[in-house]
Amino acid sequence: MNNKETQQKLINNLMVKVNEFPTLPTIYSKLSDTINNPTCSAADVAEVISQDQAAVTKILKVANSSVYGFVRKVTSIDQAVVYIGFQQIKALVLALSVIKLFDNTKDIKNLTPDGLWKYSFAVGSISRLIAKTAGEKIVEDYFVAGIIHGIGKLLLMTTIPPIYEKIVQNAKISDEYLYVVERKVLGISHMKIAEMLCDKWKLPKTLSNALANYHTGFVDGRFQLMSSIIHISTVTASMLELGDSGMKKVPMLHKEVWKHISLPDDFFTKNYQIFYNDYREMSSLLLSK
Amino acid sequence: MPEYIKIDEIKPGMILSEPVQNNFGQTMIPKDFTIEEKHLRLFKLWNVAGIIIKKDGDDKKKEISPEQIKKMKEKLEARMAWKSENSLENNLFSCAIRHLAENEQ
Repeated sequence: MNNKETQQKLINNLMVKVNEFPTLPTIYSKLSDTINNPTCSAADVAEVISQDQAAVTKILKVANSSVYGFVRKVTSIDQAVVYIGFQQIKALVLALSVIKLFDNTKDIKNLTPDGLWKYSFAVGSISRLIAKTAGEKIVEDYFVAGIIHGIGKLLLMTTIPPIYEKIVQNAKISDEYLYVVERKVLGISHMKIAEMLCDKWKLPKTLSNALANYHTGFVDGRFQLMSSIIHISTVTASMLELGDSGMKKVPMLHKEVWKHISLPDDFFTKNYQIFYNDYREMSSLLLSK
Repeated sequence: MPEYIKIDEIKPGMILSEPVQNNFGQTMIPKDFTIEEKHLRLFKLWNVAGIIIKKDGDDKKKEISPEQIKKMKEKLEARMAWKSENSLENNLFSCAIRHLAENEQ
């Protein structure tokens, strides 16, 4: 078998693995259906979430964290729904569901799921602040997009650990970007895998496009806000060495994004303590089993 | 920079960076106030989830030597294939250098 045939076999194998990967828990689809009903109330939303006690506990932890900084303690899921908002809660449930699906991911040489999740929490926390500064209303969508942007890497860690171990090792000792090594060896990148997973889970196209193109921030040559925000955040988290991206190199900054996203000149130093606190708190809250 | 502290981690001597307010926006304890033992009981009574305090060095930043800055700058530049070219990118670069220097093992 030549190299091309081996790659095609690997790609086919990965597509099967994506298809076989579990669907999102029913709580997420139930929640989407409930929120899409224009007559739904906070009690209806709370009732759906209450059916999953693990989700309740984690949502309350997040609601009482520095990310929200509510002065009063949020003690029930009803309160959390009212304080945080329907769409925002739905986004958080999505993040928690995805994290749970990758619960059994094992360490590979040079990369641990916890390191990757920490990097992703940093990307999420920074994305949330950029979205807020850019005037976006539902900043949780950006928070969650950042948190789950690395699901392609996690799937590769789970399904082809010996091969992915070599890919990561290569990206950590060489001057090459992780997705470049992935394409060379596998013929497919973790971004494409993430897009396939999003499509399998029937998540919004904005989100799957963002995850497929966050390395540039542009989708088919056109600016896309969500992927650009994740793009800037991955560069930032990598420069600050928050968590582990799976490669030594800082991602290439696609400077075209500044033509579309306007941030104050002191944005990073001014917001550093906020996103650093959020990153640390999310890592300790959501990685505790 | 101010830091959010959860109810269980509040200790006497901490200084409020933001006032503690009730649900109606009324100030219960003003900013710059130093927390005392009796306030811990009050916070529980008022069902306060957490407070925002001033951190040591809010007014004077941690001293980092020019050598440390130089070392971190070189280390970071070695991992980057692009250069900062505008004020925002310079700000990102400074933020990263400072963070790396402060957290150097």
